[in-house]
Amino acid sequence: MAEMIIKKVRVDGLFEAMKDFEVYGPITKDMITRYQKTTGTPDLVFKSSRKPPKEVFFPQTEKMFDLVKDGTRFVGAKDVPPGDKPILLFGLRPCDGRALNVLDELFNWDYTDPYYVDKRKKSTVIGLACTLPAMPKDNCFCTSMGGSPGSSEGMDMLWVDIGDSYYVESLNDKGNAILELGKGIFEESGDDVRSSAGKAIEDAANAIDRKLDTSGVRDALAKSFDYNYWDEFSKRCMGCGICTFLCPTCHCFDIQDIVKNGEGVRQRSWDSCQFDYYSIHASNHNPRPEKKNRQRNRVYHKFYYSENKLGLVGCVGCGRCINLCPVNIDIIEVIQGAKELSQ
Amino acid sequence: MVDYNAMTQEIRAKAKAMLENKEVKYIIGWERGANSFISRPVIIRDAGDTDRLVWNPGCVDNLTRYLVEEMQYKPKRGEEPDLGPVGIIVKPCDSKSIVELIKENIVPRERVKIIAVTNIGTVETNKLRKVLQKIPQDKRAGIDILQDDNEFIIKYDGGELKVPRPELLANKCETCVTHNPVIHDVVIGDKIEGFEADKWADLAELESMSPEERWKFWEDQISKCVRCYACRDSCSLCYCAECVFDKEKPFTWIDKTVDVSNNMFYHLVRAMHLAGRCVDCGECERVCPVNIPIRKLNRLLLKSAKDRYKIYPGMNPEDKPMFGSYDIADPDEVV
Amino acid sequence: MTRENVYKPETATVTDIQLEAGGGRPIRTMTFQVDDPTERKKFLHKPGQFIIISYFGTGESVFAISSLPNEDGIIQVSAMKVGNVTGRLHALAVGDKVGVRGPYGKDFPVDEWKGKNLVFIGAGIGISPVRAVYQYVLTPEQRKNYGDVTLIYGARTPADLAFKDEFKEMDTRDDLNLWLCIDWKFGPKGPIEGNAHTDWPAINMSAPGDTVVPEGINKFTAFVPQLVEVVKPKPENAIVVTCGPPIAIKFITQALAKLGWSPEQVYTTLENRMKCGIGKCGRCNVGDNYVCKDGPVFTQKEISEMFDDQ
Repeated sequence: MAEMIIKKVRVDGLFEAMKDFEVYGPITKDMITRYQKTTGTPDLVFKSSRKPPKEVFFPQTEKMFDLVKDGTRFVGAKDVPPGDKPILLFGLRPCDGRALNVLDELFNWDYTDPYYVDKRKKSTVIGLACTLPAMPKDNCFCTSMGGSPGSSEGMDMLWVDIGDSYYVESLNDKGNAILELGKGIFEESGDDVRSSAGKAIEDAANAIDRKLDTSGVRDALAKSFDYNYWDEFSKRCMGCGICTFLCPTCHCFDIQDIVKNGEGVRQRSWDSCQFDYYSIHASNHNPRPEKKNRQRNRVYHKFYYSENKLGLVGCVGCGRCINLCPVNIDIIEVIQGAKELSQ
Repeated sequence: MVDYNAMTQEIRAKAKAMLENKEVKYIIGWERGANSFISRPVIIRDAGDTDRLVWNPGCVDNLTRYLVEEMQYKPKRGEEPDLGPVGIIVKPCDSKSIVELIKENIVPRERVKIIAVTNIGTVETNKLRKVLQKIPQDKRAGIDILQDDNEFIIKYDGGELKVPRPELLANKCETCVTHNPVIHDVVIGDKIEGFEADKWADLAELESMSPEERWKFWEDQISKCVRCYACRDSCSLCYCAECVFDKEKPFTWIDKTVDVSNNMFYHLVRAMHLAGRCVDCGECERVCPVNIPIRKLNRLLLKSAKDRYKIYPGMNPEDKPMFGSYDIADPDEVV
Repeated sequence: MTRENVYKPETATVTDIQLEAGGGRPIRTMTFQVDDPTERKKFLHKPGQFIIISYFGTGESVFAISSLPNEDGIIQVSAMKVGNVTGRLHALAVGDKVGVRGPYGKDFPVDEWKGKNLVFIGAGIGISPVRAVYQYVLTPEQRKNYGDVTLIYGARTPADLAFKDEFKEMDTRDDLNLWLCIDWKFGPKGPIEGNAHTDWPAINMSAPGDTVVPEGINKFTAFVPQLVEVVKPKPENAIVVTCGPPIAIKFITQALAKLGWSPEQVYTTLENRMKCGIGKCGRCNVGDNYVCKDGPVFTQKEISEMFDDQ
């Protein structure tokens, strides 16, 4: 593991050196941060993004392949060659890095998903630890979900803001390649730098005020499935897709054929388990007919099913669903409530 | 200074009486949010729970969408339909939604008991987040937001913070047309006199743009949309049992592709469906997770309904709906 | 650049179409053969597995495969016309092209059942996945491996009864007990025109178990669960394979429980809405089971242990 530092004034130079990459980084516009393609240096000062970085590897709408036409009818499918440019994702927050682990597991589980895995394989991920004053935000609770403001899971390289420079830790060969690319830009680090980086992370961790005691959550959920509780709190749910679309680990999608101007493509787009038509059968039977069923499915998927299937909890504690829910459905409160009821 | 505490007590007493006298099945109101600084919707069925109800400038939700849910509830197999009235607490702006719902025969007047409050304004959630940064994090629990004519007062553990009204006031409140409820069974709070009528100031910038500039503006905004449909789901007047954008059989009107053209289709169709009906309660803009100024779109239509057809929805249940009425003097240059 | 793309369907050609049931919700059986001879082997399927069929330009849908296992890329499905894709499929002609990918999902453990008596119960279009198994069991090579075979099938109206010709032929077999029923003899507007089944006797719906079955009669006017109680299949050394609408499965399971069947003996195949078929897209879950990966074949015991919203 190589440790270096990079002076903030030299970051532009590094991005210049990384021109061969397709760079995605945090861009803030109208008060909203998203990870978007950029040709310059992305924003270095930002809170966690509104739309999670999963969209870099798993875009909200993604073309799968072209439909082949014979006369007026479509008769087959033709693969679209993927781009060959390497991808650089810069500025990933630690919670979102852990979320990538969940998506990695899912898209490699059993059958391999070519679209996600292909992009992921040719990507290098540079994370940015959460440090004061930008982070933590309201309702961050990563430390309760096994993460930390300095977690480097899912990343190839982690940067920590230490004032006028970043402490840089390369975690694997992909990270080392970036160090190589920025030779002369990265500078030697020392023990004092490492400890001030550690201090910055610790301070951020201490500033996280929301906590969820996850011990016994699985037992509680195993008991409480049939409780009236789920009906009670989901009464105020409006049934919108905010909590799922903006969740860094949610991955449900729909597959549709789109025909425009005589050209056909098959496409996939994010879908949300909170929509009632999501699970409705052709016969109009709906296995999850009410908001209670759908909210419960979301909570169980995160805190129960995901662990059974992928070995990872589906929540990383980024706090987006809490911050953005228009009717204050608070997943920490929901889980704590279920735990209390099942005692 | 508005006495929110006294109003809350009065609301609780009224709600309790209604539940105890079995005048209503339940009361839709606001309760204190958990770890949140705004209030949140709650449904109270038990008279003993009425102490959960609150009223303060953080009661931002328009609760009438839950009223629509009650009206559209389909009893399950073997369940007796219960057509008894429900109670609802509304702000003046929300009361306009009820008027419109009564006009459109969605809510029968006798099925709702309206506890209405008078109100000089609520907070904007986005602005509140920013203001709260000034309060130390460990002191934010249990804050109270109060307000008088000039400023909001945020009381927290060991101190208070005074914020000039414009810094915290919801955008929709700046163009409010009625601080007093337009329909009610019970009014709580003093009648509020003397406020300026809507001058459409927020639209001036958009209206001064050329059509190209305006298109560019909307394209920029709409391209952010993630199609979570929160604007639709929060809207009391988007009550179609099956929305055209959800309809899958016999064919879909819109695919799930998120791009400018599909998003624009969604937003324009929704705006047109609300033309002459939207009461400008501001929920769509409040709930939007990507800060699209959806209200501007609806207000442009609201303004043209007012200018052209002298229709301002939500003010009087006796009014005719815009699309349901015709006057020989109506402008007809497009016909 | 070639990459293994699990989402990309193979083109297949329609080789045969049969109308199995008419009425408002017709059922057609369609047979396809995969075009590319080198790909055909990949489509070797087992009873209970499903296939995803594309009508290119409209979309994909999931169907239970009813053809016998083969390496010739021949796939047969029966589909009721209910949605967009099935609407398109019903308009297909021999020679038309569709896309197929699969087969996916767990199959029925038919090898474990050797030596046992088998009872097949199908309701409505639910007969389609069940048919995959009984057709396999009734082949000359397989029939000798199993004990008694009973088949119970019912549909709403005479017009909805599918595979009529097949059942006519099966009715003459002496190695199979066939029982058929229809829910209604009459449509909402009176007797159904051309109804040839008015002679199918009704059974006592409140106490179906007490019904005395006249000699030689195996067709009734009844719901499938009640017919099960009339037939009284014996649970000893036996397996039930059932499929149908959720409400029918619920009552069939209750009827079987009354007759002493344990949930481990009852196999069913769940059909939830699916998009990917390979455990990624999320929507088909019942509790932590993905119907596409962990199913669609489950025993009633497994189902009763799921976090089921229904």
